[in-house]
Amino acid sequence: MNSFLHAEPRDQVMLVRIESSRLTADVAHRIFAEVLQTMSGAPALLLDFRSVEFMDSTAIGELVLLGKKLRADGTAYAIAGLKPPLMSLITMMRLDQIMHFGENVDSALEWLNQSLAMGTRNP
Amino acid sequence: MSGHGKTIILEIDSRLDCVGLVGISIRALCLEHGADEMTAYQIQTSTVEAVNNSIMHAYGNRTGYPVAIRWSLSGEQLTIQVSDRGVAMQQLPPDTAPAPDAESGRGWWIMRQWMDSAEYTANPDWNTVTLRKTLSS
Repeated sequence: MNSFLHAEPRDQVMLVRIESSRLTADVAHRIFAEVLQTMSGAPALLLDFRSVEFMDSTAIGELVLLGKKLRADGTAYAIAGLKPPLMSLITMMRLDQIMHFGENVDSALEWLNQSLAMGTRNP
Repeated sequence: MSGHGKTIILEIDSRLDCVGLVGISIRALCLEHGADEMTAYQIQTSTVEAVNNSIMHAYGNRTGYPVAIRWSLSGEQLTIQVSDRGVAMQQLPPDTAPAPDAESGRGWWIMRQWMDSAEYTANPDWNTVTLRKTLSS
């Protein structure tokens, strides 16, 4: 396992916690590339952002790119645990229209499992 | 610091791994001078976006060049100027919301939304982004 992520499978979902407090232009590309490497063919990804304190627009762009790759692969995904200031940035950028953001890991996991059961993937 | 206002100037090398420290410093300065957590976060983010633009666009991600950040408070009027000596921007990005699935082009939108004003000037010596916001106590 690398220094930025902690991954643990939860049935069909790979739960990946980002352990960097900053998700910024200097590290975002590397972190999201590592996220993809941890997937190991899992049908769904849940990204836990609870440790992230700060994120810039480059990281948002990288998150969009990750979402496009997952969507192209038919992988369901959701994001959980964003702190209110970061969520305000996400809302301002309307990313909540193209990705699912759960308040916490449990609610996002429930949404993902329902999506997998219903065969629907992403917003 | 001098006179009625307060000014602090930071200068970093054009390296993205230095930008986080600028953001933390700006946030701390704003909190110290009466900004609430959300306002300080918005100013931190806007400043980081301006510094990122200097490094990634003006300097093309080349290290070894200066980026100067001038934090200045006069009464409740905060002014932050981010300056570089790189390639000047020919025109500002449009003042429209980026598409949700855009992979780039959000920096100026963030600065315009979260600051009272965000302006850009270029001259032969320095290109400067000037961010302004009223800090209400």
